[in-house]
Amino acid sequence: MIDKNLILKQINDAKTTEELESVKVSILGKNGVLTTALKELGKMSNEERKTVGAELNVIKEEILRLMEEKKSSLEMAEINAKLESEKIDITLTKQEPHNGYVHPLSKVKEELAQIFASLGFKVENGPDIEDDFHNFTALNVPSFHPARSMQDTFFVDGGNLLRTQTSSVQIRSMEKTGVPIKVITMGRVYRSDWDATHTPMFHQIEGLYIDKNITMAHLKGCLLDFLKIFFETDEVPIQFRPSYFPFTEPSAEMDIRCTIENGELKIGANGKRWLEILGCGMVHPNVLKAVGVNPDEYQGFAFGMGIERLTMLKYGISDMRKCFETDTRWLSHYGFEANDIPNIITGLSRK
Amino acid sequence: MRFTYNQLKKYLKTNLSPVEIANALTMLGLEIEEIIDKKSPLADFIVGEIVECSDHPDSDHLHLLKVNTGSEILDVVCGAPNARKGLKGILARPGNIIPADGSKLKKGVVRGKPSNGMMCSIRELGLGTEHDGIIELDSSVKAGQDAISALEKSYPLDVIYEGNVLPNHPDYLGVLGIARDLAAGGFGEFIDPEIKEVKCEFESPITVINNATDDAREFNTRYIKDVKNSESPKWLKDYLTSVDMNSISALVDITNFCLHNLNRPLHVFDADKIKGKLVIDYAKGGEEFVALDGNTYILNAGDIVIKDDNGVQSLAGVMGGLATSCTMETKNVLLESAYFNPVVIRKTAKQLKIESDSKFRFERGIDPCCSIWGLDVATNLILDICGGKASQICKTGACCFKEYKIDFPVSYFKQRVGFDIDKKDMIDILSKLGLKVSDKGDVLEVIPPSYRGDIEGPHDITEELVRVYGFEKLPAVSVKSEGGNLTVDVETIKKLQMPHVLANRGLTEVYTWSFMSDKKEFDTSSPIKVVNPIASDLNVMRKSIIPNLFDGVKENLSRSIQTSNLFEIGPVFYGNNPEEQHLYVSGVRQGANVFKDWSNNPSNADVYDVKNDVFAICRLFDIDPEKLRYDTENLPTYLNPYKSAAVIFANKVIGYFGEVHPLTLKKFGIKHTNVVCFEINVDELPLPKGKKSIAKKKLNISDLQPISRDFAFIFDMDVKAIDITKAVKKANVELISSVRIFDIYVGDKLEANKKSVAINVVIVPKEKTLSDDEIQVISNKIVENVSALGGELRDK
Repeated sequence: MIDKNLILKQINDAKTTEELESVKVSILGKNGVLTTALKELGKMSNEERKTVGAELNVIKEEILRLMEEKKSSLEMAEINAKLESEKIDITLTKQEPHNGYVHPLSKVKEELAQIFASLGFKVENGPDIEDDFHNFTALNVPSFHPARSMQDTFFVDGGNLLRTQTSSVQIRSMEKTGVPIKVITMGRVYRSDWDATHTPMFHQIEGLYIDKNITMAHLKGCLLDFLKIFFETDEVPIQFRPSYFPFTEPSAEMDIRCTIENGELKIGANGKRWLEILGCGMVHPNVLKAVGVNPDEYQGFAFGMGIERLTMLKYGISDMRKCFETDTRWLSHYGFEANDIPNIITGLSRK
Repeated sequence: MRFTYNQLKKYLKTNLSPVEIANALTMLGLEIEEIIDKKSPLADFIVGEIVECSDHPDSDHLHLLKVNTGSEILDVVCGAPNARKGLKGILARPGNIIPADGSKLKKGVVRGKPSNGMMCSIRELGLGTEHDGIIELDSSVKAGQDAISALEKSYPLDVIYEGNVLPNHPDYLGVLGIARDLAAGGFGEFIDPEIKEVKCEFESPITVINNATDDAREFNTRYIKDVKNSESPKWLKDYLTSVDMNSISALVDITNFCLHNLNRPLHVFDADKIKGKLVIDYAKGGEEFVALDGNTYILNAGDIVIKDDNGVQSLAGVMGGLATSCTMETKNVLLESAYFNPVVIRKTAKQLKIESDSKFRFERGIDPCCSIWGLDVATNLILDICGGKASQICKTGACCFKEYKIDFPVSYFKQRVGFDIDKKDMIDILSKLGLKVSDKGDVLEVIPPSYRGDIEGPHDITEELVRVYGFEKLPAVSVKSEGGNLTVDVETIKKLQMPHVLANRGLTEVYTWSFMSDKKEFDTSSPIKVVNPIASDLNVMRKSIIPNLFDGVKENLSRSIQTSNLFEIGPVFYGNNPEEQHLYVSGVRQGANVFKDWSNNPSNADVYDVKNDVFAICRLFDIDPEKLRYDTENLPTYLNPYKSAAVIFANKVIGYFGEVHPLTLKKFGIKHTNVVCFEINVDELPLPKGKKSIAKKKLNISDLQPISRDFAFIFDMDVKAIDITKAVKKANVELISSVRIFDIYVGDKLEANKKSVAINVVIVPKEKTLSDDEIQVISNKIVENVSALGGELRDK
């Protein structure tokens, strides 16, 4: 008869899965005690074989069960021990590849494109090097008109100039597609001026909407919608102030009521000042005539804004000149992460 | 335009405060950019009388004063040399803000003696620059009297405005015009100045011949004899100082006063210096002219000049000449009041680069009908201040102004602006602006006055109405289109997405100038020069963005920034015409992709990183990078010819990428090797064609096991990877799903000039599992294709 208790003790005492395996061989292997005992059954009488066989089977089952239990607990311990031996310092960090950033001007250009797309404007482009006709004459600024000295113009060899305003694209777009027309354009403009608040190159956005019955009231509605979405606020108190641009009449500048505190723009009726935001007006009949449009039949509005100015106001940037430097410390601070994509539904800027 | 509140009130009866006037003007279209108030900062100051004055015992220059304030006696320590008993001056008491520096006066102790106030100098009160001593007022003022009433007699305590006059409002270039506009806006009552009739006692002895009446449309002169030129009276000097004009002499100051008040430029000759007749004519070109500013100008043909027997004596409307200018010794003068064609004046001044107040007004447009009037106003002032006798007026030409009618349909206003105003209000506003209005029912017949030459048509009338009426009633009407149609085109969308694509690859976006130094250009042939650059190192339009990016790298290295991964999307110019502009996206990478840390070794950015940048942009435009070809023969010189390529798509060069040539880095002062860059001409990328369906194509995934096989071949060194992978793929285009080079070996185990290339090939069965034989067929085909390139299968 086999010593069941001894077997169970051997199983229990196994310290590793290998030990357990050799115990298993010593019991259930070819010459194992249990295998041997079972072999002995053949020599027994039927009566005896029945009882002893049943007993041995119970023992065998118990042994197998215990073996299994012991095996999984040993495995668990061994895995745990292994994992523990491979313990790491979770506070270490691994260097990531460098982040790239989108320039704040690009962010704002994308916001503007989205806003004006939602208001039904298409995007048009025009060249930076312009001819006199598109930059001046067609915009109701004939040669030797005093308005020519309102902006200091850069000239290139051969008589062309660097556009002083994106309004030149008004002319090119109307030449291309005629009227009705509802477009914006964004791009670089150039004026010979360089100090704390002026750079010789900057960006403008220009809007043009010409149809049969477009009035200044549409201009106001359009700009109000734009301001609310752009500055992400429901209430934008504005005032129109008479002004002069050769290519619009009546012309106006638009101010918003606001306070700027520590670089942060707060728009609202309780603001401390009126801040000039943009210039606008009804397109001058001479401009329409210059592109062959009958001003008695068609009319509409145009507006223009500095994109740097909008960017600085919205995102609290104080020095415009930094926009044109390549300092990655500045760019990573004021720039936007690659996946920060403005969305007119979920908000143009991350809060 | 600088002007003063007090002078404005000579032409405007109003109760409005200086600030209210400023706001009214801004809302009328004369933006007030600055208000300098000399008066209100003095409101809390009083007259103090020194009743005792003794020397400070511990100082060689300080005085101990007892100052009577009218109600008490204050101790004041004072260092002014003119402090003495009996002097009446302006006293600042503790709490007063000193106008000169904005500081608040406090009680103090000076070398042991209490000081409870300060007797002020002119400079301290913001009234001038004198600081030699304290103000001495005349004896009629009383201790305790308010400073403003005491000072007003002697000092111009005025409010000065700086207004931005826009080109459509030449009438704002005279104080009178500003007053008239305020009156039209309902901010007061216009006072039209009365002009005393000039007693004309003789005929002008100087004959004037006008040979240029086409452009010198009206030219009137008056001779005034026996004048006595001198310094201007105090009021005139003070006035000119307050509006930033220099006082020269009474005769000249009077003309400047008229110019500034009436927008009427005048010129005064020393009549004794004129030789013979005065002739108005066009310059032939080449004449020398010494102007009042002391400069000699070489005139251009077509300039209008005023000549005598000695030559050109005045450049019409722009500047008088030095030879016939007035001096303190001048006895007889010839006063000129003329009207010149604004275009000629502007042309002359622009060509000669002369700025003057007169030229500025002529080119903007003065009232063509005010010549005689201006002559009379100035004559009266000269007779008053300098004495003398006036001649009759010698006239040439004639007033060129002709009244014109504008029909203004009443409905036009609403049609353009979007809201209505009463016809009655329209008539009222226009009349106050000096326009003659006749009510013809649905139409107003309007005649603008001579001083508003800018009003040409109904759109101008609309502007006048809305400007004076105000924009308050302007409604807002939405311009949103019906339906949610997408209006942004594919091209714009792709351009807006580019920054995100590259930022995701670790590049940071910059914006740099479109102009740069010609010294930094790679391609020095036919530079696109800026005629008038803002700086000598920004003198050409860029033909590539790359030099600006190299500058950026260099600046960042000097800022101790270790890594610069920069890109820019912007214009590049091939020539000086509008159609020669291209949109480029260019980038540069310098330094480690990932900084060294405990887990890795740093790897520097290399050519294959910028090649992937190029791929990323191509994918954005739906261009499969596998379709790109490379040319290593025709490269720009700034690149290392052995590690760079031109990128070709659809037989066009779309850009370049590669490692920067060491000589280029040296030229840009970058002491760092391994700088790589790329540039792509976005205009050369075909826009993705509109897809017929938004839905994606059906995906067929094979359930059969893919088979992966590795090969190693030995090639000559210059066999290109792209040819190898193409050859492998061609073995079975349908079933081979990927070909990947996973190792390249060059070294001792191989012959010189040979390389071993290890390739992994994945074969995906489509219809059925492939048998060993079938796979072997593909493998054999691969080996066969590769051997055509000279590739030799390596022993396994």
